Amino acid sequence: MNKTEVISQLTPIFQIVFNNPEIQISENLTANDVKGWNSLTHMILMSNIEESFKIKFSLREINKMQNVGDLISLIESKK
Amino acid sequence: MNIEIRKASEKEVPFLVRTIIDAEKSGTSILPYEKIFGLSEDETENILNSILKQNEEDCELSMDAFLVAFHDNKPIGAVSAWIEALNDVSSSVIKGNLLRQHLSMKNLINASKYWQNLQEVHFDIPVKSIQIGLVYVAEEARGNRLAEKLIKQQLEVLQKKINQKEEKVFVQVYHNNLSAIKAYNRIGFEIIETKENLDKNLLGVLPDTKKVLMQLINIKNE
Repeated sequence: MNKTEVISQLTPIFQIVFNNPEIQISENLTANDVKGWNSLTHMILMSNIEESFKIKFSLREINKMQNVGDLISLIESKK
Repeated sequence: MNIEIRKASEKEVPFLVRTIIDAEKSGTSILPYEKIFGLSEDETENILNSILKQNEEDCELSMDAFLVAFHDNKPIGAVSAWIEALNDVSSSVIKGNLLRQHLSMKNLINASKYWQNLQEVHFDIPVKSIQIGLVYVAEEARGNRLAEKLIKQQLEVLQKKINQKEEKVFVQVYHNNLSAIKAYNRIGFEIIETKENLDKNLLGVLPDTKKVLMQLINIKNE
């Protein structure tokens, strides 16, 4: 799975979780840039991503993620 | 009262669990963790106990974020505070990752009933600012301005850590917690923003459906 495919699968998940159909994913996007990215929406986001991509994240892996670029790379490494 | 303030250690974890639960209830009997995730208070205690022992840094559930006040070696008060996204990872992300490990899909489905309403009472805190999180003083130690002492010491510790005094300091409080708002006023905090969600869905889920964001404007030393 390449970066473009990961982004196109991630985009609708972000749009639903953050209730924002305009949201566009970029590699340098962080939780602090997105309105409503709190601990609860983060949990729902990560669970939806795991389900959609049929992967599992470890705590160590996701606690290191500084931006969406790190998330994309992590998904790519698991697919 | 002879009081010693020091960083929390694993020995204080049960007291920190009590701190979190009491602070989350904010003077009411409503524990948001129970309502949002469909957990019992015992289950919440067990989860918090495990998370605190993991001691992941830089969020309100990090053991390292707590300063504890002792009297005769007995913990009587605690305050958590941290620097937002110190290592470029949001405190909400760290807290969410920690909680998610211990929650089932059933808990998350329960939470999904509330997340849109909860988003409306969420404040986004600027990166590298200091956040005061959970504050608790045991009943027998109240009336000694212990919370103020703990908060001021937290500020000294964190300002040293970030190596400057210009960083902004924030605290979020439920609007009906008048004694906390008054205490923060005494330290030099002022309300800068208010958020409310009047949807019936949130009634009884949070201690109040209105929250205020307070910022430290000018620290008062009495």
